[in-house]
Amino acid sequence: MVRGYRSRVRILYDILKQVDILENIDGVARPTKIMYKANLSYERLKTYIDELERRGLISREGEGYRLTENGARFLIELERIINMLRAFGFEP
Amino acid sequence: MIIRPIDTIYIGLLSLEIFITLLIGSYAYRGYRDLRDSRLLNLHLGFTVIGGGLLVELTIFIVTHITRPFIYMLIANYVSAIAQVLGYLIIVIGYYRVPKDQMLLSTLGVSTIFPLMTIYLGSSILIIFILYRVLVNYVISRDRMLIYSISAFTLLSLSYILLSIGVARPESYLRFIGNFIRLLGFTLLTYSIYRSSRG
Repeated sequence: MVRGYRSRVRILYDILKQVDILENIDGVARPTKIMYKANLSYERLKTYIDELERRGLISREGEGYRLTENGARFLIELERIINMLRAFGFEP
Repeated sequence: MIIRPIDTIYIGLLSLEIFITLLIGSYAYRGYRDLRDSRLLNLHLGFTVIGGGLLVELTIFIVTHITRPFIYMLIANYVSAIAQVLGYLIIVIGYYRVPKDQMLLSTLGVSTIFPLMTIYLGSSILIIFILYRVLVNYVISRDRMLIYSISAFTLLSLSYILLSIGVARPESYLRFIGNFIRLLGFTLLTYSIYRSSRG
């Protein structure tokens, strides 16, 4: 079975989820670790990180990033949206 | 004006279906507004069209009980059934990532006016396609959450087959059973969507 490419929604979810997990473990989520865990190239991660920062969903803290209050809420919402897309067979 | 108990049940079932379909549609729109994902737009448009069609059916059903020209009820059934086919078609088109400006054209191009029975069967076939996509997902992920989705689409597909037979046999209760099963399907679908945790 060939699996399709990851959607933008899925990538945003993977990044925010990793920021959340890494923040709980290390205090802040470092870009290299997010890149590795979310399976993204540096260029793509940079684009998404810039967007998330611009939208106030993550904030820069020293050498890493943290989820903002809005970001934490958005992560829960994203999880629900992914569940919805999966319920319709849009997302694997 | 005589409203039989069974008519009250019918009105209740339709009202709940309208509420649920518009709820799913609005939820998908919220997601689309935040993420600009075209699949969410398809879900929003699909469920809004389905809910809109059911709303027309309900409104005309109530009006015909006051004025009694039953031809309007038949028209309402056509409008509602066509809206449902269009709604599911919009959702199915979402699997192929059709650009937004081509979506309306594709939908209108594929759908033509069929007799009512064929339209309900058309809905059923489209739902079976959606069911197939969810089943593929289930085979890959073995996620138990998808069982709710699979059950919901199975019920929805069955309901349209019953509604289709119900059109041919209006004296039977098949339409009510069909409506009831469709409501169960929508409810189960809403439940599966609103479950935020997996497993």
